Amino acid sequence: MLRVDQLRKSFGELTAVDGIGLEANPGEIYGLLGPNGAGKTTTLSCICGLLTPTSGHIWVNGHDVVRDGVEARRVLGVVPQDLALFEDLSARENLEYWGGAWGMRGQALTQRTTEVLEATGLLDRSKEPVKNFSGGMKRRLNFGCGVVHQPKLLLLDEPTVGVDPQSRVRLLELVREQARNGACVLYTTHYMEEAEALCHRLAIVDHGRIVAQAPLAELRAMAGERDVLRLTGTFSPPAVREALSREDRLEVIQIDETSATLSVADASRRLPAIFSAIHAAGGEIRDTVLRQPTLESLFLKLTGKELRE
Amino acid sequence: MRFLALSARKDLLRILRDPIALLTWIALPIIMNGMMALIFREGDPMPQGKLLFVDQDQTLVSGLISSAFSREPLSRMILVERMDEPAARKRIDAGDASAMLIVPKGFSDAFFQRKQSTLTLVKNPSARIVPEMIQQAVDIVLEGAFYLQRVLGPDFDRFTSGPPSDLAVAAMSVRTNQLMRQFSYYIDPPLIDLETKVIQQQKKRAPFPVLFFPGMLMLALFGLAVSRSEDIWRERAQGTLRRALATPQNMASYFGGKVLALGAVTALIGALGLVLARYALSAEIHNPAAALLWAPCAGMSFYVLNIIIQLAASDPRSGVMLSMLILFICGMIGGSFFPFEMMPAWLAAIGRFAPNGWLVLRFKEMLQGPIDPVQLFYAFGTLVVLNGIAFYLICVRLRKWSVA
Repeated sequence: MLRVDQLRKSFGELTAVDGIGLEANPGEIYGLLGPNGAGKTTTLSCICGLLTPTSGHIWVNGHDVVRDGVEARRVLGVVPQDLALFEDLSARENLEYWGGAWGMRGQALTQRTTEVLEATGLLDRSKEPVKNFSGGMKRRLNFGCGVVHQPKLLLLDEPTVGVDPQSRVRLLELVREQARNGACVLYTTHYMEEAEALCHRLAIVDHGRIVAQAPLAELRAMAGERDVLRLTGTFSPPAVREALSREDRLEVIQIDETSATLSVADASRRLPAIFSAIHAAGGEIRDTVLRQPTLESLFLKLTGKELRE
Repeated sequence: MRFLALSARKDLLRILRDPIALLTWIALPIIMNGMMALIFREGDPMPQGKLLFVDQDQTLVSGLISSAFSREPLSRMILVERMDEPAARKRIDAGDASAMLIVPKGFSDAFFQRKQSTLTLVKNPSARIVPEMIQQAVDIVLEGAFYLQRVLGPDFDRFTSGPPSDLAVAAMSVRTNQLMRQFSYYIDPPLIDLETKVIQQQKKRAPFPVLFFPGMLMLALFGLAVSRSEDIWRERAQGTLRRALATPQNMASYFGGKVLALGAVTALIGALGLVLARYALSAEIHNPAAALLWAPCAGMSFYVLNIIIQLAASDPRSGVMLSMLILFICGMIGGSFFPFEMMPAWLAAIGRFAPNGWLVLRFKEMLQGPIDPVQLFYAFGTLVVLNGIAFYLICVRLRKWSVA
């Protein structure tokens, strides 16, 4: 349903997306996980035709989005990060307008609008202007506008940002339902727990590149090999690197004068030995954080930084 | 086409859901028009004033002087009030009259006896035109009296010493008849040939509210277009423009819907304006169909112009400022705040080329008289071509601008 090949997008000197490639199938929820500024939204913008790629190719349902954009967009549904709604119109009017934009009309449109209003829990307030809605209600309607025409490929750009827990659970369930109905869902987020709970496959994105891409179980296994140990204090990077290089099954992910991130197997048992080695190399440890293997620790291991940094 | 209609409906609903903004731009020109009409009120063009007439003589002669003011056209300009001197002085001191004329006791006797007598005329210094007219009228009456004295002076003497005899009356009649024969040589037919040239009657200027109407209507449409053009920033911030770009539809349909929605609203405003002008201001509307069509065309043109301004601006604030600045400049020189008829010629010449100036002038032509179909075609054609080019450029720019 979706194939992205060596996608690259530059804005002058800045390269926002640098050679991303992925493939997603019907019924699958594919997650793009990465911090803000990693290039997730730019990738989505290229897929839905808002931005023209600098190089690379994107095919949606077999149509090249650059050469055959209109056909590609016919099967596309977009739920943008912004609340792309007409606040002075009612929920029903918004849904009917966006449904109409994808060619729906008449009884089918009315019926589908009612279904979406019901699914998003907005049926009883469907005639009210959107400006009277709470943030969570607007988020749900924003989602509804993206799925009202039952797209084959649904692009979701951080749809739960700023949403209350109740609305978030409801939204995630709506996303699952789209996939169950056969849609291919591309879901960008920087919430690790959301990605773990929702996605069948994940790509971890940083600085416009995919640093890991695999089914969720494989990524969990990658993360499960080693713990991540994050130290803060005063370090002499060359000396500490030298001292730790003698340790078995330990990798220095990142180190500077004030912090160090290590990937260590069986870290809790080996902490005294690691501390001694650092101390011997002239380092002083003030704070220690040990993470058990999760996607977040995998992200840290792969990129050397926290997901929310 | 269907998406165009859908978008137009959507934007029409959005405009109608903000009635305050809509009414503001309709009411503002109406209020301004009313105020301008009050300021430059134009009723009867003749000045009107009061003459306080103090007749201390109470004779036929003093009566003749006062009756000079009761003839046309003076009677339409000057209202004569007879009263005694103290009351008249009180009124003129209070500034409650244009002038006071005192005919002293014995004026009639002095006239017949060819003796000197003095009429007193007190003018109100705060008024200029009417007192001058009164003075000139009195001068003419006195001059006439002087010539009458010169011609019929000896005959007057016969009246001063009591009722004249039948013989005296007959002699006077004969003399008067002889005088008339002598004068008839000069006056019937007149010795001086008068050539009469009929200068083409100047076109009567329309009353002020009617004069202001076309410019004010265009100002309302311009203002509404400014107010609606700001919405493009909201759409960009909210992301609806980007969402529209992600649909299989094109930007021309999306933006075209906006233009059409504004066209529908301005058509309604134009129709209301024309009905008001026709029935409330008694304005003549010679080409109602063309004028009805011109209003939405002008409204859409103003909208397209303002969208160009918004797209050229760096942020919403500067966009609105720029639009308002252009609105006011164009309003001032383009015949909206002041009709071209009231502007200095050089300024009006420049203003005719301002966007609203051109639209106002064509609109006036449609209202005021028969218009050549070729001229109509030229006017509408110019609008279609210019707006078509602007529309295309906007659609191209809007795509990049939405995702910038």
